[in-house]
Amino acid sequence: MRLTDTLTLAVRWDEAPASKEHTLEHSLEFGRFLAGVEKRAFRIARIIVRNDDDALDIVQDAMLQLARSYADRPAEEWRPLFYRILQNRIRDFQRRSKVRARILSWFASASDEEDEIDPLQSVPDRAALPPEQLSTEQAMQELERALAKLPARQQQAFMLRNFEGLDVAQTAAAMGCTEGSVKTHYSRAVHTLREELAGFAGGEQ
Amino acid sequence: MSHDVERESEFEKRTRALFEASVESLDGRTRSRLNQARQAALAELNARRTPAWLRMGMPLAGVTAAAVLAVWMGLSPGMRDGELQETGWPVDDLDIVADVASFDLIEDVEFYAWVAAQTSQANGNSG
Repeated sequence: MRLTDTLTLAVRWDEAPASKEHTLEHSLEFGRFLAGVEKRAFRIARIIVRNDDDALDIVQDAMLQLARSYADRPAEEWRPLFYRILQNRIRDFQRRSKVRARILSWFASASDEEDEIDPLQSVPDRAALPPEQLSTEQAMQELERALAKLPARQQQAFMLRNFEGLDVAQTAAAMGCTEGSVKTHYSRAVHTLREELAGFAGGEQ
Repeated sequence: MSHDVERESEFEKRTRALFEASVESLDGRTRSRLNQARQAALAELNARRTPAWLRMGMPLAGVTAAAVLAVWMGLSPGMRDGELQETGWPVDDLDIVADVASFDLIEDVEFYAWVAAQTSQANGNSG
């Protein structure tokens, strides 16, 4: 048997098993899923961690974890699973940041205890501007500023429900809590944001 | 989108529209890095689907499989009966098959068993 015959057989072998086609299709579907959520996931992570590189790292970690652990699950489960991983990664990042900040502040306090800066205070207050003067970008900054003031669970509920469009059950799965908790967190978040951003988005009740 | 849009307030619609606009306005660098992250995840998925023993032992298995194939070809009736001189020993072919880097050809042991069966059948038909 010559090599050309062997190659012909190899091609036939590669084309034969249906399971290989299924695997390929599954991989393509997984790729399409990631392409569909990556930009939104980045924006959500970016809103919380306030740094592009950190947000990109978090999204990449979440993608890798989903690929390693859950890619074989049914496609309809990917979204809540992905956002659950993303939320966990964000929470881990925030914990590490707090520890780092505590250590840094401990050293800083030895020289000057008055130097602590709240990043939120450095954001210019545009809430007083009439809504028509707020560009889309400025309005988004206002929204991010208001979101940053919310408790973490309310932030999560609002972003997953409102930004990502998950339903109550999917949000509960992503947050690891009951549907009732999701409704409560989301309702409180909307109420607080609406008060915080009065006149910003129509201002209706 | 599974959100209950009908019951949404204008405020909720406005905040979602702002978010969508911010997603669409992502810069090229960020999009590129997200694309790279996605490719890395897909590579991870494909690597995970290759059995660990195969990934670890692929070079050794490839050489072994090629050696088995070579011995089998050397002992096949066609070769012993002088086909070697008529057709020329496919040394170049064997070099390619035995090349450790040609994993696409040699990663499946089952494939070689199948090749052996096909060839035996072909030899049976011709002889």
